Amino acid sequence: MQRILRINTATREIVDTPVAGDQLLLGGRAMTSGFLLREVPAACHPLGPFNKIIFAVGPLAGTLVSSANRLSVGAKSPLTGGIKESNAGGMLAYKLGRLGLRAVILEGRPAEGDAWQILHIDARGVRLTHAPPELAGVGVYEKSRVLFAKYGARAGLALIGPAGEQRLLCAGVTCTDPEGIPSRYSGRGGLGAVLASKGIMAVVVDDSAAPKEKMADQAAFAAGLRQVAALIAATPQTSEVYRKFGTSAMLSTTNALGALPVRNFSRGTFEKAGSIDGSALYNAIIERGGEGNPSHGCMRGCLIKCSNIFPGKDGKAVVSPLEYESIGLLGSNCGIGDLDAIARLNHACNDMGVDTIDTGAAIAVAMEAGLAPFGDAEFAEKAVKGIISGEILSRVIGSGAEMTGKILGQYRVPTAKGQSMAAYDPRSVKGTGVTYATSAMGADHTAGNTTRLQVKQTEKQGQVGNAKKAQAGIMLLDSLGLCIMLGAAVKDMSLIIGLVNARFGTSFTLAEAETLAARALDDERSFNRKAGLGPPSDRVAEFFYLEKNPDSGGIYDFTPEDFLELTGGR
Amino acid sequence: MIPVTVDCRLVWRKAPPREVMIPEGTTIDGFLDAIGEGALRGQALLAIDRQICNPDRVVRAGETVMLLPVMCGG
Repeated sequence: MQRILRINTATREIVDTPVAGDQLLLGGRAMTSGFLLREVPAACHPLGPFNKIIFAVGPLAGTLVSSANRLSVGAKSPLTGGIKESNAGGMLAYKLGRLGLRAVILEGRPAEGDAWQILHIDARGVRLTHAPPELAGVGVYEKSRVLFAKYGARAGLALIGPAGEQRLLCAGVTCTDPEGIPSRYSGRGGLGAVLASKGIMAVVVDDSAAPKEKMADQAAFAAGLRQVAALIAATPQTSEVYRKFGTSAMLSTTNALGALPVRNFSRGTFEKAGSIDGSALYNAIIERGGEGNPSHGCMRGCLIKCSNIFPGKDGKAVVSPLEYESIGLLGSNCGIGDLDAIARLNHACNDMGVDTIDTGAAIAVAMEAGLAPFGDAEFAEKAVKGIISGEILSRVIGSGAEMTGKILGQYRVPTAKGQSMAAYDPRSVKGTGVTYATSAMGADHTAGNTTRLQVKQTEKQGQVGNAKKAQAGIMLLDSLGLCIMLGAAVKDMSLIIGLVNARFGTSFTLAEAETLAARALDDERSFNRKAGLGPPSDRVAEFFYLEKNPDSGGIYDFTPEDFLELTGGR
Repeated sequence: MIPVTVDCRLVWRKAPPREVMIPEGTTIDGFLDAIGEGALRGQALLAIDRQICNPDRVVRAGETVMLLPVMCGG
């Protein structure tokens, strides 16, 4: 039986309810957004008692279906003021799924000054216990080491770093990977600050005593699982390209198109791109050997393995993973063309518990404001690491590009709905630019990226429709708990719905799933409208409308009327 | 037949630009087949002058067609 846990962090009341009806079909983002719309007053303070933070998994979590163990974390965002969902790999979704848990909802707000809590979930039940006091103000790598020593290596963790403890607007929630490394971030939107506002420092999930699950139709489930594996093996992107180069292979595409963020989105092509692209990354990992690995799986059952472990020159692991978005925002966008420096910066962001995308954008805004020259990796690393001791500049940067721009009096701040853009210039990849403006998530590429399409990316015509399709497709993936990478191999999601039916003995259809996913997109827009983020907020930073990208020649030329096709004016 | 240049920027198969002959009137949609690289369909984006092209765009003599990887960011 699938269940939902509710934990009131003020009263410590715990309620366990069965999942019923449609909730069996979609989980993940549709579930977090549905609960938020129904249960959270949209105008509430994101760090107050009326907000909720929800961990939700997809219908195949806890199984070995490849790429089906993503964890969605959702809440009202302190960064955007709107609804937010951010999902990541790691082990938590698998372990929650094995325990039959579809969602964990944290409600209420403990009294100010109460001790930090650890939420511990296993087959015997749920407990809230005091966190070891020595963990306060400590980075996530050390926190996870202490927690594994206390709870055992079979546990999976979700935790916050010092940025979360300080309620910084870009604080994320990280999950541990199969090797216990706490680097799988639900990084966007400041969800770590919301978890901190509930007094929770870490969620520990131990599935070691989980009962063995019996599928409703074991033979059909096994056949579907094999089919997914066969499709991954037969698709060059998933069997070779992602596995070898990971997401960093994107860099050569965006650089060639003039879509890579360079020096605070002032250019789209980086003169040092060859030093930080997919080939450079792969070659460095192979040449250095040691603990490096270009093909690392971030969650149980993953056959694609697009993650990596990036080693230093001595072969010791520096960070895992080093991904395209982090390379783009912490690297080229800050004028830094050295993978070792970017890896150290990425590690520092992970350890402090901040989003690499918004932090990279914030550092670049600070550089443009004259606090340091572009390319100054030492300044960047110091700025991030200063979070641990509460340095004011570090807290500003950890609060994101929008806040940094306001405090430093900057005009060129690459955001939408208060959230920084990912590593696609909206003037050069206009479909993604439409998603930045119109998605309830703010400037979030994972809400509907169109870079994959064989269309003229700087041409306005057709891009709103492209973004609409992309947003609908992504909502379905996010709500099925699937990694976006799986979409390259599994084109027909009926296969996934078939697996859900084989697991639960249901008879859902793909059409039903698509209808529910479309409703979830509407839910998100409804929430934002009630929160004061209606159609007038559907825009990107003004400078994109006025400055041409010098490398692609593109300019952001969408009007509010253009978006009606996607938003319906809602 | 017309001459065009293929600039392969596929991260797994980087190669120096090479000149190939294709039938006049070949569109972007038919380009990979025209150069005997139909297996790259779905794996490569085709761009001319730093722009990914619409599928019905006709490739003209002397142009350079760039092959870029189809990827997801992360």
